[in-house]
Formats: sequence, C-alpha cells, structure tokens
Amino acid sequence: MIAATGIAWYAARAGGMLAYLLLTASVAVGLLLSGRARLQRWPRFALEDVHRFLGILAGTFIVVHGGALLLDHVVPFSLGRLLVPGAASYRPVWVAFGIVAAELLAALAVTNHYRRRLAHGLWRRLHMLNFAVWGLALVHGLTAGTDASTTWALVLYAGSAWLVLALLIHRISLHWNPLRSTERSTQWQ
Amino acid sequence: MREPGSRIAEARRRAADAKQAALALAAAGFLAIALLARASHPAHASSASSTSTGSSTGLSTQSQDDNGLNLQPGQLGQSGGSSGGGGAQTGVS
Repeated sequence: MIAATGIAWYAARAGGMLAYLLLTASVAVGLLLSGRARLQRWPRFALEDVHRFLGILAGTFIVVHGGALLLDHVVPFSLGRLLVPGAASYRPVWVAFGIVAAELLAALAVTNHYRRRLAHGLWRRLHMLNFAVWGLALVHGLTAGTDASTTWALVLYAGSAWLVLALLIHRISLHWNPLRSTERSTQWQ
Repeated sequence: MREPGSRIAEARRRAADAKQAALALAAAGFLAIALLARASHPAHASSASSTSTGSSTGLSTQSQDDNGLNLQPGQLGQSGGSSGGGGAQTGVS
C-alpha cells in the first residue's frame, strides 16, 4: 500500500511537470505557426499536426496528474476538490490556478473540435486564451509544486518561460512590422 | 524536382515521426522527472521504514513537511526537535 501510494505521488508530480512542458512545446509550435514562419521541409499542415498532438499529449498528462492525485494519500484529494477551484485543502489558491488552467484547456479543446463551425476571428481570439492556460500552469507549478524549489525544476521553469516569452516578443514584433514578417518568411524557405 | 504529392507525403511522414518522437520523449521524460522527484526527497522514501524510531506525532509532521504540505515560503519544518526550541521558522524572504 505504501509503495502504491509512493508511485501515485511521484506519478502526480511527474505528470504535472510533464504536462506543463508539453503545453510549453505546444505553445511554442503555435507561436511559430502564427508568426507565419515557413520552415524548409515543414509545411504548415505538418506543424499544425504536431502542435495539435502536443496539446493532446499535454491534456493526457494532466489527466495522469489528476488521476494520480486521486489515488495518492499524501495529499488527500477527492474528485470534488480536484474539480472545484479553491476547494483543495492544500494551498487552495495556488491549486485553483492549476484547476482553472486544466478546465480552460478542456474548454478550448472543445472549441478546437468545433473550429469549422465557429467564425475564424472568434476561434482565434478564444485560442489566444491558451497563453492564459500556460501562464496559470506556470504559476501553479511554481507555487503549488512540491519540486518547485529544486534546481532541476527551476531550470525547467526558467527555460520554458524564456522560450515562450522570446517567441512571444518575436511574434509581437512581427505583428507591428508585417513587412519584416514577409521578408523573414522568404529567408527561411 | 520532386512532385508536390511526394513532398506532401514526405511532410506527413515527417510529422508522424515527430509525433512518435514526442511520445517517446514524453514517456522517457515522465520516468526521468519521477526519478528526479524521488531523488529530491529521499526522506519520503525513508520515513516509512523509520516509523519505529520516533514518536507518532513527530513522524506525522515529518512526513507532511517532506511532501511540502505544511511548509510555507521562508519556513523550515522541524518535527521531533520542536521541544528543543531550535527555531523552526526563519525570516528568509
């Protein structure tokens, strides 16, 4: 029983961290796509396929994270406490960040599923909320994560945050200078 | 000059390879992070085996602290040594 609890506890921690890293990878590929970067040998549909897959994989590990927390007895979580923001007994505010991020991601997955039925502008604006999901997940990991104070976890958080922020700044700079975007697209071919 | 059809098929294959690589990396990463987490908190694994050496109250507190349950930022947890007045809390900011 103790061994099983231990496995669930480590699976919860690893699942949460990995879900965040996969979310980071998905956001990074999404930023490359939205920047209209044209990479040689990587047409847009192929990048979109990988972007979608990384998002699904992130969602899968969020389920692993939550499921393992349900099985684990180190931090007692019921299904209700796992689904309702602020109901957790352990650091309720910071855990709520993670719950809201997961539920928002699930809602955005539904909008992705019905993408063709939605106006493109609306879908695009909703899709931007993935940045909020990523930010909430980062804060959740840093404040509620058991491993947040370890060197390896800090390196992963800092590296992933740097990657997304760098790509975001690059993307914003393209938005303000669309001519440069066209020039870069042709350079990358 | 390659035909567009073959380029699309090649891109599809490349995307499939990338997805397989991502899946393999995720599985390896899951194990690696679980091992790192275990290595970061060796007291969690050893606390169960040392149950008979201390008072039940002290062990309970130790287990919770090791798993980050009661620790707040800037606070250092102490279990059995609370009676010694060793200063369980610091003002680190």
